[in-house]
Order: sequence, then structure tokens, then C-alpha cells
Amino acid sequence: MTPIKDDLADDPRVIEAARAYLAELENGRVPSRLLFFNRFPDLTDALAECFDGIELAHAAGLALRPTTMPLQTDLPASPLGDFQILREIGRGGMGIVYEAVQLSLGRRVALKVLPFASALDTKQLQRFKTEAHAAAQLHHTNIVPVYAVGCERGMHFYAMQLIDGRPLDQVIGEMRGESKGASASAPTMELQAATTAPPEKSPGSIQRTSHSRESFRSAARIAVQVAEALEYAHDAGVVHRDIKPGNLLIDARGNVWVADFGLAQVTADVGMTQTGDIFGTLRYMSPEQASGRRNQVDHRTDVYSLGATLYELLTLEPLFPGEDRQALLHQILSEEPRALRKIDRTIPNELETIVLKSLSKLPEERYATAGEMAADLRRFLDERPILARRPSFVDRSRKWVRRHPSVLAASILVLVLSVVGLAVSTALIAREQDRTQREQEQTQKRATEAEQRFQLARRAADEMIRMAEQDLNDQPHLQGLRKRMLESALAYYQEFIELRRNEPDSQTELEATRDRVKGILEDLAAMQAERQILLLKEAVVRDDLQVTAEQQKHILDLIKRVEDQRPDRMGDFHKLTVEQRSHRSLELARSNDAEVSEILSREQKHRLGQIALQCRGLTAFKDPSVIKELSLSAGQRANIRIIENNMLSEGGFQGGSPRFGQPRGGPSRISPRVHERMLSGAFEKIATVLDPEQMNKWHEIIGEPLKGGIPFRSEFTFGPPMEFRSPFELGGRPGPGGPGSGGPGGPESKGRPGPPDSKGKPGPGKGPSGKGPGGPSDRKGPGPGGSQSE
Amino acid sequence: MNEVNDLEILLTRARGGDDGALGQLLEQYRPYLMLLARLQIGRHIQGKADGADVVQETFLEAARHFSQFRGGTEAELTAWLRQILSTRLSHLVRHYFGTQARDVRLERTLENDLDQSSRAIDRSLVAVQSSPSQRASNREQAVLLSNALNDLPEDYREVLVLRHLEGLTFPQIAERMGRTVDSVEKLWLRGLTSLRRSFGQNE
Repeated sequence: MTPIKDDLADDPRVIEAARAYLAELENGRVPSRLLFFNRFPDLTDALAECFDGIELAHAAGLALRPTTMPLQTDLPASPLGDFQILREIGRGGMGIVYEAVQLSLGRRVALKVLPFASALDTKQLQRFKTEAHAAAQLHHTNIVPVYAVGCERGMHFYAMQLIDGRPLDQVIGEMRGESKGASASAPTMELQAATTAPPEKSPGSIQRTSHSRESFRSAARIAVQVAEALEYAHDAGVVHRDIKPGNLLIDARGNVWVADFGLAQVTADVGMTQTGDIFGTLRYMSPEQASGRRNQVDHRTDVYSLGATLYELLTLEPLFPGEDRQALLHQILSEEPRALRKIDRTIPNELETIVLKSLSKLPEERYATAGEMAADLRRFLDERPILARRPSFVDRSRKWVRRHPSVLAASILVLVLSVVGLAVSTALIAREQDRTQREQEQTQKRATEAEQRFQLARRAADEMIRMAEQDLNDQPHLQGLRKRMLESALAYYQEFIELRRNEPDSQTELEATRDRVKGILEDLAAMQAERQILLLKEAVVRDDLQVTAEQQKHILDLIKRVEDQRPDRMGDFHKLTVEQRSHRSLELARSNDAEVSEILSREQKHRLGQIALQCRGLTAFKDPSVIKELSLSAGQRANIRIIENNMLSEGGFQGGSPRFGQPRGGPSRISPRVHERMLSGAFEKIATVLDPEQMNKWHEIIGEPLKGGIPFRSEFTFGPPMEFRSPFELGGRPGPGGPGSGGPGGPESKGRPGPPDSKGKPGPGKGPSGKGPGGPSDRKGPGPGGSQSE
Repeated sequence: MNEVNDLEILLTRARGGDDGALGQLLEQYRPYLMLLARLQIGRHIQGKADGADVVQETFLEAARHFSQFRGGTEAELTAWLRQILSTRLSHLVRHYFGTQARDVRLERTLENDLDQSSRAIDRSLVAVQSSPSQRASNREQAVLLSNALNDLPEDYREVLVLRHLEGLTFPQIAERMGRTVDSVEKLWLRGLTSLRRSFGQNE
């Protein structure tokens, strides 16, 4: 066996394989080595040795790891500082809880002793103290007050109010036992209604076995108290981080007490290792917590954990039933919880919505604060409508798309865009209508509907921005798509500003929106700059610009540098956060753009801009400056969008309407001929949308048609690039070229005046790029937007 | 195979009063007992005591009472040693909890703990044997593994123990060792292959 060289340990594939192998073992499965060997044939020997090692280490673990829970030790006979222990009350993951007497004050307290605390080093000790201090400042009806913190004989402890009650996990356990087996005796639960119990019902008992409405309301009441306690704590800057049934105490009067604030962080550091300990907590952990992303954990993790607790309280089943850490972790991170009503149909709809919302994987989709969650719970209890919404089509699509990222580009976009287009137009139409007395009511109704669709559109727009920023940022061949999405989102937001400009209660929203718009514009500007630079690669373009030899040299240099900046070429790119990435892209784009301005003269730069517009085809009409210049009305823009969508569905996706489950790379597989046909039809239709004045203006904007035709760029090369029907052929102006010459039997002439094409020039000789079909040859491909070079 | 014979020889000689042989015999189990002690101490009174002390005490006890050991196999010897270890551990734990009275339950529990772990071996290791000689060997696997671990450089051993015996995650290990997760993973890989080789040599 060849020994594993040190540098092989640096190979990330080996680490990945090793971890996967160990994960299988820890799940109790027998991993198949063949699978790994097939995947990494060049690493077979090294992996074999590695796997052997893993088996050994794993066996050692099984052999030597202690299996039982921490034992019941004798109680410390002498007092621990000011506290004399009387008896043990219970034990949990974090230590043992005793009933004790605070000698100086003669009162009974609960004393939690942390067995692991001696392992804390100075830093952790400091953190423990800080957390304990912070927790001690919390004074709230539903938070267990902390009395003292101390350390004696190597043991750290923390004294708190003794609560005469039981932890919620015990309560749930009992309810579970009852509801599963109960027959004759109908045991009643002492889940007291705290405040709003109707007088005719007996105040003390809830028949959980019958899953009555009242028991669900009690559960909600419990959650409200916890949520309010959390809100208070969050306001004070303390995040609990370990909300779970075990930490929630219910006393005899039905009040809920939240215990153990702030301890979770500390004990996690010490390395709670025994399976039982971390396990209990893991179940209620938010995804960001469970995956160890400490810096992403904030107060919303408590919202999640409360949701998980409430889930269990309502359904009597744990949120995720995984039996071992790996399985549980996977469930938390990637599986959606089972709908509550599937487990028990009598659970109220609103509660299900509230719980599921707080259990969203992404923190930003949960309740923004515990207070909001409490408010919605109160609304439910008051039988008012709650604010949370069921996941819409957009949400569900997004979740689906997250699982099928390769299909992301095609189908969803078109659907979402249609929604945005229609929704906005409808909203506009609704508002533009005459408000006569008779029609007012009707208008009002339609306005409400429009408002709802408006909101939906809003969410769609936000989602597009998010997708553009996060999911698409790294994929070179989807840059066109990304641009398109940003433009659509931009269109939406600008309309929003227009409509709401004068409404006082929308001012903050407007501000945020304007910022959003600014951000999008910057992004678009960056993309525009890139597009222009890459245009300079084309000889036709340089010819048109009449570039000097000197300039040419600088340009080619710059282009080479730009290509080196591509994300997949930059080693460290994947280590940056999303924000840093877009920041960096923006900066690069700006500096590159500045360089271009230095190389070219002002006239040349202007001309370059015109050419860029020409090359964009239909999507040029989405450019904000174009829209402004042409004074395109909202209606016109909507129509243009519709044309675009039709174009997509008619021609774009492998000859049919977008289908789900396309193989990777599907949407970009547009043959030039199809593309050409799509666009020629589209341009004709646009001619019907613009009025003659706008037409003229358009021709003014884009200047003279590019000599030599516009090269068709595609990441899949089907032979020499074709010439392209250019936008300046709208409205009958003679253009230099008709249908391209590259494809067999080009599209029929559609009665367009102008000399039949005689150029037959295949365009600058760009053969297949080094990567061959399927590889992204440059950062921009023909996104479904139809522009062939951007 | 030779090893088992060696052990039997040592055992016979130790019984005959050969202190040198006794010392040699017991030394075989130092890494094993150290690991057990470390894990148990960690659970109850982490950091306040050194495993080495407890193990040393164990050996002293074992040496003092060796005539009471009647067994003939390694399994019996390790069981006996574990018993003594658990007693010493319970003393230690009680010391830190400030009790004086002897707690039979404590000792019993510790004993159980240590016993259970060795019973788990057979189940797991049958599938794991990677060479015929290992399968045939009559040595206590846990001891062999402990020895192999002991032979590793400290960093490698630390990562393996933390990951597989104490069950920490890599980020936790990184924090504990004051290193980056990356470097910890690499240590882990190198540790694994070293373990493999070390174990192979101990056959």
C-alpha cells in the first residue's frame, strides 16, 4: 500500500470522503468502499488506508466510550458556599438540579451544579460569568430569577428561584402516555388556563385525550408567555439559545417559567459530549445553530426553538424524529417538518401556520421578533385573523428550487415573471380607473385584490433579487438570467415608488425601496460594464469604433485581466460571503469600466454604449435609461414583457414549453436558428407597441447599426456565429443585413424591405471555445431573455 | 499469537513472584487504563484530576493484591484491572464532591460503565477486522487499540480521542485545541493513517 503522503491530507476530496465514510459508520450502516473508490479512482490506495484507520478509530470509540449517564453521586455533605443541599430534584443535560437552602437568607432555592464546569478555562469562565450576570438582570414574570453564581471545591453552580412545578417535557411525556393508551379512566391534565378560561369550564382540568379545542388554546397560552419572556430578554440583549420543553417549567397556577438563560452557549464550549446530553438539545436547535454557524445565531434562533417546542406540545410528537445525531442534523438542515394537521386534524389552521412560520429554515422567514410571534398567538386566542401567511406558490417554488438548483433558471423564472408582469399591470389598471360613485365599490374590491397580487408581486420581486444575489452569483452561464431578474425586480420597484410616492404611511417603505433600487441599479451598471468590455473582444466592434493599434493592445490586455477575474478562476472566491462577493464584483466592474474610459475616447465610449444596446435585443427595453428616454408607459412595458414571455415559451426551451426536470444546462440550449426566429417575430410585435415618435427616438439612441452585423454569442457553439436580425430593422428602416447566413435555411423573409442579405459573413472567426459545448465559455450566456450578448 | 504466549509467560512469572515480570505485564495496560480514566474523569470531574495519578494508583493496588487475581486470560485480567480502576475513580470523584462516606452505588456504576464498554467491543470489531491475523488474535482489542493510540504523536491522538471517544465535532475540537477546523481535519486524516499503521504493527 502506498503510504499517504502528507500532501494528500491536503486534498479536500480525501477529507470529504473520510467524513462521509465516518458518517455512514456512525449511522450504524456499513459503508461501501467501492462507491468511494469509483468516485475517486486515483485515490484508492490512500482512501483504503484512511478507511481502515476510521474503522479502527470508530471501534475504539465504541469500545471505550462510556455508555451510561452521569451517575448519582452522593450529595455534598458540607455546604457549597452559602447553599446547603437538601435533595436532588432532577438532572438534565447541563448538570444536576438540587433543592437547597440559601443559608444567609433562609430561603429555599434551586441549585444547579455544573459538573463540567471545572474544565472551563479562563476565557470560558469569563463567558460563563458574563452570561450569568446578564441572566441575572432579567426580571420578568415568566423568567426564572437567578439569585447567585458561585464556585466551590471546583464545582460551579448557579442558584435560582425554586419553582413549584414541572418541566414541560414531563408534561408532554405524560400527555403522550395518556393519549396513546388511555381507555377507562380519563386522566385529566392540570394544564391550567391562565387568564381567559371561560367560567363555565372547570378551571383546572383539560382533557387532553380528547384533543379538545381548549387544550390547543392552553398550548398557545403557554407559548405566548414564553414568547413574551423571550421578547423581554432579547430586548435586554440576551438570547437563550436552548429553548426546549425541558427548560420550560409550569407551576401549579399554570404559569410558565423559562429557565437557564444563557447557559447554553457556555456549556456548548465545554464540549457536552455524551450522546444523551447534546442530543436532547439538538432536536430543538435551529438550522443555523445545529450547523455550528455561530455568528449567524441571533434572537431568531429562539423563535425557532419555541416553534419546535410548540410543535411538540400540539402534536405530541417531536419535530424531527431522528434517532442519531447525523440523521437529526440532516433533518434539521434540509427536511421540512411534517404539517401539524397531518398528524392531528383537529389542530387549528392558524396554529399550524404560526408554528410552521417560526420553523422556517431561513431566519428571515420566521417572525422577526418573539414579540411578533406572541402577537400572532394572541390574535389566534382572541379569534382574530393572524398576520402570518401560508407559504405561497413563490415560497413553495423556492423550496422546490432549492432542491433542484439546476432547473432554477428555466421554468420558475418565466412563471414568476408572468406573475410580476400581470400583477403590476392589474394594480395599475385598478388605480387608473375612474372613480365614479357607482364604480367606487367595484374599484375598491378590485383594488383589494390588486393589492394582494401587488404584495405577491412584491414577494416575487424580493425573491428574484435574493436568487440573483445568492443563488446565481457564482454561475457564469446564468449571468444573463441574473440580469434579467434584477431588471424585472427593478421595474417592479420603480412602479411601486411611482404609485406610492404620495402616501404618507409608505414613506419608510419607500426609503427602503429606493435603496433597493439603488443597489439594483449599481448591480446592473456593473453587469453593463462587463458586457461592454467583452463586446470589445469582437473585431467587428473594434472596427466600428475605429480602434487604433495602440488602443487595441491595451484593450486586449484588459480583456485578459478581466477574464482572470472570473469567479471560477479565483481561488478564494468561494470563501467570501455573498455580500463580499457582490461588493467585490461591483468594485471590479467599476475599475474595469474606468480603465475602458481611459483607453477609449469619449466618442468611442459612447458608441460602445450604443452597440451594447443594439446587442441586447429585446431586453434593451428593460434598461432604465431606455425606458426613460422613450417614455415607455407602464402598459407598453407590460406588453413588451408579454411578448418576451411568449417568445420564451414558443421557442426557447428545447422546442417546447418549459418543463420541470430538465437536465442541467437545459435552458441555454437555444439554437441560433430558433433564437433568430424567436426574435424576428418579437421585434415585429414590438413595432406594434411603440408609436412612431418612440421609434424615432429609439433609432436615435442606438445610432448607426453596427457594421458587419451583430455577432451571436452562445456558450454552445453550433458553428460559426450567425448574423443577427438587429433591432434597427423595426418599422421598415433598411438594415444592412437580413436573416443570418449561418443556419440552414434561414428564416423566411417576412416582407421586410431591404436588400436580401449578401454578406454571408460568418462574423469574426470565433470557433468553439476551448471548453467545448456545455462549458461556460464566458460569463454571460444567452439567458432566456434572448439577448445574445450582454 | 506470540503476544498471547508472551502474556502467559509474564503472568506465570509474575505469579511466581517475579516483580519485574509483574511490572512489565501491567505496563501493557497503561494506555488502556489511561484512556478509560480520562473519559470517566471527564464525565464527572473534568480537569480536576490527572488520569495518570489514578492509573498509577491502580497499578499500585494491583501489584499489592496481585495474589488475589485468579484469572488466566487477558480478558479476565483487564476486567480485574477495571474493577480496581473504578474503585480508585470513585474515591477521586467523592473527593471532589466532598463526601466522606463510601458510596457503593457510585462504585457499582463506574464498574458497570467500564464493563459495558468492553462488551461493546466484540460486536463492533467483528465487522471491522481488516486482516486475518487480527481476527485470529486473542488479545483484547480495546487494549490493542489503546496501545496503538498511545503510540501516536500527541496531536494525532488528541484529535482521534476527541472525535471518536469523546464525540466532539470538528469545530468543537478546533476550539478545544486552539486550531482551525481545516488543520484539525488534516490532523485527523493523518492520525487515522498513522493509527492504521500503528495497529498493523502491533499484531
